[in-house]
Amino acid sequence: MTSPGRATILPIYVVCDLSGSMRVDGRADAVRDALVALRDAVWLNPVVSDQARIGVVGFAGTATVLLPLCDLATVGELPDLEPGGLTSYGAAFRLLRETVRADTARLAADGYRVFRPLVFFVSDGEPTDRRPDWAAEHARLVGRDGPEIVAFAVGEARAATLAAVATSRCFVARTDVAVRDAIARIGDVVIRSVVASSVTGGQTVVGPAPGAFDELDLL
Amino acid sequence: MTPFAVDAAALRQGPVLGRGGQGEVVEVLGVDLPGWPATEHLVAKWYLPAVAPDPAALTRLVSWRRSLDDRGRAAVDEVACWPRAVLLRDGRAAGVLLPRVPAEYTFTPRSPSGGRVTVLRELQHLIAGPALLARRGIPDTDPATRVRVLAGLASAVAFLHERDVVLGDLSVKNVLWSPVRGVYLLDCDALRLTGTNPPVRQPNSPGWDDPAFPGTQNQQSDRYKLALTVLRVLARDFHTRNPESAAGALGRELLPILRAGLHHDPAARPAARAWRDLLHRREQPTPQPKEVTDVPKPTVNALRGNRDG
Ligand SMILES: Nc1ncnc2c1ncn2[C@@H]1O[C@H](COP(=O)(O)OP(=O)(O)O)[C@@H](O)[C@H]1O
Repeated sequence: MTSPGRATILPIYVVCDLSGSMRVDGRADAVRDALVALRDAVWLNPVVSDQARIGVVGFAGTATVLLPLCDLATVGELPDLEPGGLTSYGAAFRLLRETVRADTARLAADGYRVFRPLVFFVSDGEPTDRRPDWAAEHARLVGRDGPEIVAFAVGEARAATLAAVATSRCFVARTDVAVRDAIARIGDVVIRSVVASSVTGGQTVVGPAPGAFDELDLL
Repeated sequence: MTPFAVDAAALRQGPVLGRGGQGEVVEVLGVDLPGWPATEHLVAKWYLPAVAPDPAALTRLVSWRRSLDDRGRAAVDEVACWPRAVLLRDGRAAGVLLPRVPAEYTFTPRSPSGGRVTVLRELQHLIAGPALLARRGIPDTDPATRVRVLAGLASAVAFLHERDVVLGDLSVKNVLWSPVRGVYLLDCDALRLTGTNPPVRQPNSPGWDDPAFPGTQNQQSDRYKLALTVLRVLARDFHTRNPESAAGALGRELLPILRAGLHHDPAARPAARAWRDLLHRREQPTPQPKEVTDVPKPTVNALRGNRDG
């Protein structure tokens, strides 16, 4: 493309807890369904292909890039999700930092300008690594040029923990809502935020419909 | 006389049709009020609690439409999803009753997950270039269709401007178009009449902002956004603000008016009326039979385009 105004891309990452507890109660299936719905939404909204790239990172005892940053509309097969193991926030933050850095450099090399990346971080349990360890990784992640993080606590994850992870907004599922339903609602937030950000040409995070989540005041 | 405000209890509501940044849109199966005209297909838009619409501003929009004569009202209804009534829940203004988007402004592709979905034909589908469309199995438009749609948009904006309406936000999702009918403006519950405030805070779209009015919206910023829309549709580029990028699409004749329309000095910008007249002159007669109105089924291959294309 030889557009005189250089296009600006918003990198978006969905970072999802895939520890053992995600196996129960259809939780991982709910994540899978949400990714399918997200791909549909990107497919139906060409402006998203133009403005955003989406990647998926899963973590348990270790972290994995399940779907490298891409135009989701072009993805035929979505990754398999196989939950199991511990909940290492530190591993997630470290991999995310490396991934964000590499992706941003690649987009810049391809001639794009890059918006500050946006991360949707979902966890259903407390971290199993030591707080000083993950907190140090977190600090490195969100330092200069780090991503904006929207955090969601579902299941056994504690509000205060996710509040320490979030940099912009933090939502906590109400205890009377099944975790898989809460995950479906998070998928909805991600979809609407991805579309809204692409339409406005900036970073727009849309909160969940009332009922299933409470938003924490981060200040 | 039909009331300006309708209580939620009087609505028979169907399924949720969509969720947006401001709320939820639900199909209305019927309005149980004596004398309510039963002919129109309606939807209810319920705002999120955080939105808190200004009831007086909503009522103003409803009564503005009703104050038009029959021809004027028909003309507005043809191009705009204009509020029919304010919706009350527990005595508070919580939503608006809107007409349902006419079927000509929708299409029903098969999504990658296999289901048929009804999708609004949005401005984004007109701006998106051939590669983005082909990947989705959406047929491309020809330049004549794009000019015709733009002429329809300019004429809708001109009509509303002449009647004191400020659109405020033009975005790739709130202008619908049809290859056979024209344009249809969504989110009319967020616009305002000159000299008054809008019912809800209007979103600020950095990619579409007017450098002359960063914080406010008025008919002059509407003119800028109209010019930007013409440019982006012709250039098929979601980002450009450079008039030269449309030169290839329509020849250099349009450059002076595009430059004027995008001028930082609001006084330099041509009125929507000028755009309407110019684009109508450039319109070619509608090619009747060849027009593509339906969308073929995308194949799985359409999903496997080149990565990061
Ligand atoms: N008048 C309508 N008729 C049918 N569907 C509609 C109508 N208005 C909105 N919708 C559906 O509801 C969704 C949300 O619309 P809307 O509330 O206007 O979004 P936003 O709050 O982001 O402006 C749209 O994407 C569309 O699918």
